Formats: sequence, C-alpha cells, structure tokens
Amino acid sequence: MTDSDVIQNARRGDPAAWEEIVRLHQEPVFRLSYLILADPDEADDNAQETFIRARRFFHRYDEGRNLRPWLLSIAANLARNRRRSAGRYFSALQRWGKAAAEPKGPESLALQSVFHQRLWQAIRKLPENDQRMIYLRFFLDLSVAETAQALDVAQGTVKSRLHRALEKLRAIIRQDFPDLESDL
Amino acid sequence: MNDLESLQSLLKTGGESFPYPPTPDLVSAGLFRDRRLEAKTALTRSPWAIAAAILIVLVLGGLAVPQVRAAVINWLQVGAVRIFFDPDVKPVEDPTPLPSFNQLSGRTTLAEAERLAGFAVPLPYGMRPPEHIFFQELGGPVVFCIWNDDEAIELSLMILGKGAHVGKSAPTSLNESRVDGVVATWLTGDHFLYMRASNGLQNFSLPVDTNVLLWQENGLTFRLAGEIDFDRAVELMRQIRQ
Repeated sequence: MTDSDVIQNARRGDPAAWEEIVRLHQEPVFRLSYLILADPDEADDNAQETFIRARRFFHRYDEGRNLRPWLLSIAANLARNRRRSAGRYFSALQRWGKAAAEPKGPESLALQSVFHQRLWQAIRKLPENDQRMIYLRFFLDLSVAETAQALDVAQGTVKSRLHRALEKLRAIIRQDFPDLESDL
Repeated sequence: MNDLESLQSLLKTGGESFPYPPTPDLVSAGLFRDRRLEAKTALTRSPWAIAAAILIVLVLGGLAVPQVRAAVINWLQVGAVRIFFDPDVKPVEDPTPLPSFNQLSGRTTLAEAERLAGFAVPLPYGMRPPEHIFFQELGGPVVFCIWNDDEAIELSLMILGKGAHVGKSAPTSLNESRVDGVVATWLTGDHFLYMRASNGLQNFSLPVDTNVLLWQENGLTFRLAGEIDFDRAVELMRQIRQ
C-alpha cells in the first residue's frame, strides 16, 4: 500500500490506515513534543492529542503537501498551548506525587550527556518560534521546504528567521554557555 | 568555516545524537484516547446536556438570565454571537472559507474604524498596538483588531456593534462565569465562525483553533481569541474594560 493509499483510506476513516499513519509518524511527533515540553509524559499526551486532532481535522489536510510537516505543526501548536496552560501544572503535580513513590525510570537518566543538556538549555533560552525552527531543521532534520510547511511560512522566511535565530543562539552561548563555545 | 556554520554543524551533531526518551507505542494508546475523547465530545455537544448544565448553573448560581440570553435547545446567544452546538449546522449559506482573519478585506486604521463603527475601540493596555485593524459590515459594524506573532495570529479582538451578528459551531466546551460582575463565556475546542456580509453577497466561514472569551457590555459584544488560557483571557478582558 502506498502513502497515497494510506491517506485515501485514512480520509475514509479506516482505522487500520490511521494506525499506519501513527506508526509512521509517532517518533518525530513525540520527539518534537518532548523537545518543546521537556517532559516524557507530557510529550506522550501531546503526541496522542496530535493524532486525535489530525484525525478529526483531516479534511483540512492538503494532499499535495507532505503529511509529516502538517502533523508536526499540529504537535508544535498543541505543545505551545500545553506549555502555557495552567492545567499542565496540575498534571505535573499529580505526576510529582506518583514519581515520589516510584523508582526513577530510564527516562530520568536519558540526559546524562552534559553536552546535550547544555545545548538544549541554550536553545530553550530562545523565543518559542526560534526554538521550534531549530528543532524542526536540525533535530528532526526537516528540509527548508518542509520546515516552511510546518511553520506555514515561505521558504525565504525560514532562511532569514533561521539566520536570526542562529545569531541569537550564538550570543546566548557566548554569554551563558562558554563551555559550548569550544565546540564552535 | 565561520561561527554560524560551526553552530549549524554543532546543532546538527547535537540533534542527531540527542538522547530522547523511548517513543511510546501510540498506536493502541492513541486510538483508545480517541474513543474516549469522542464520547466526551459527544456528551459535551449534546444539546440536552448543555441545556441541563446551563439550567443547573442558572438555578444554583442564581444567574438571572439577562446578558447571556436563554439557553434554548440547540443554540445559545451571547450578545451578537449565536453559538450552535450541532456541528452540522451552518448558520450561513455556501460560506467561502477564509483561512485567517488576516485575509479579511476592509483593512484600515484604528481612527477610521472607530469613525465608521461609531464607537470607541478599547484595547488591552498591556499589549502593544495591534498590527492590523479591519472594519466590516456584518449586519452592523464590526471592528477586528489583530496582533500577529510573526505570520501567525497571536491574539484577535472582534467588537460587534448594534445590529451585527455572527454564528459559531460547534465548540467542544462552553463555560460561563462572572468577571467583575460581567458574564463571560469561555469556549474551547476547534470550531467555525460564520459571518454574513451586510450586502448579502458574501458569506464566510473561518476555522477557529484557539480559545475564545465572549462578553457584552454597553451594547457591544466582545470576542477575544488566541492561544491563551482562561486566566490570561480574563486579564486581557479586564485591561480592555478599564
């Protein structure tokens, strides 16, 4: 079955086609959610919500464009809302209570690399839109065209905004993360 | 290799080797969640459930009907905005899809919009001036104030004057509360906004994927929308009312 068949079947509401779409795209959707939310449980919720929304509003998807950037744009918008919403703090509080009673899982050990942790901290000091651009372009390896589609902007805008974001990030690294400067 | 090229290379390396947590299996979990959500949505959108909920609010809270008028079977009127709970209801015929408020015609200045509308446009004092102002006749004067975050809309404030009317269908949830004595209606969930131009020639539908706060005051209906939570919406509402 081709991608186009899967999409056609998904449009008809075929659950098997939807499972295939989730299977194909769950990793980048989860990863982008995690990069924005910095919490595996929140990222899990956000990724699920992304596919729920996608299925509900699939009629808005333009088949002439790639599906992945469309899904990632939904994931990024939901994550941004989630990050700003008060409800998140209640969820975090609930999880805190649960975590206190449980041994730490492998997720908590995932960020052992000081380099990655410092790099991520530096990126997180950027404005949200710049962070999103860097995650899509460098962490999820989207092309300029796909990044433009995910952000719903022109390709030229991606290039100019990316340039500005990199300049900001360079300044942040120089000021607050001098240990990363040796890698430049 | 200059600094920015080195930085790009650093990001690429860091991105490729980033230690993500394992991706959970969303296939079964996602579908399960979807069924639950649909059940919840169906309940929330049920006209009887909404009517019953509103009745309980009215009785228990002693809310004396006034500004938020009668909760009827399948719609609720908040000032100039009629909210339909049935997603299949289209309050206007053959609407032309409008992707964004930014595609509206009638772009103008604040002063000109106020002159045409015949009322002063109060803006939230904590925000910068809006990037765009539009004026439309939708049965009456309507002023749109748009704050853009890059190309995306960060916040929109729509003020509907006497005679104006728009329709909405069908938000996922609707909650009423009082903010400093004024009834405020909070809508969440993707839905559609329908507009009918006064000349009778153009109908529009606009997908709304942000939260919305509605209230009315001094004969005007205010519709504030953006990717904001209820607390932020109330904060902006207070700024507008001052």
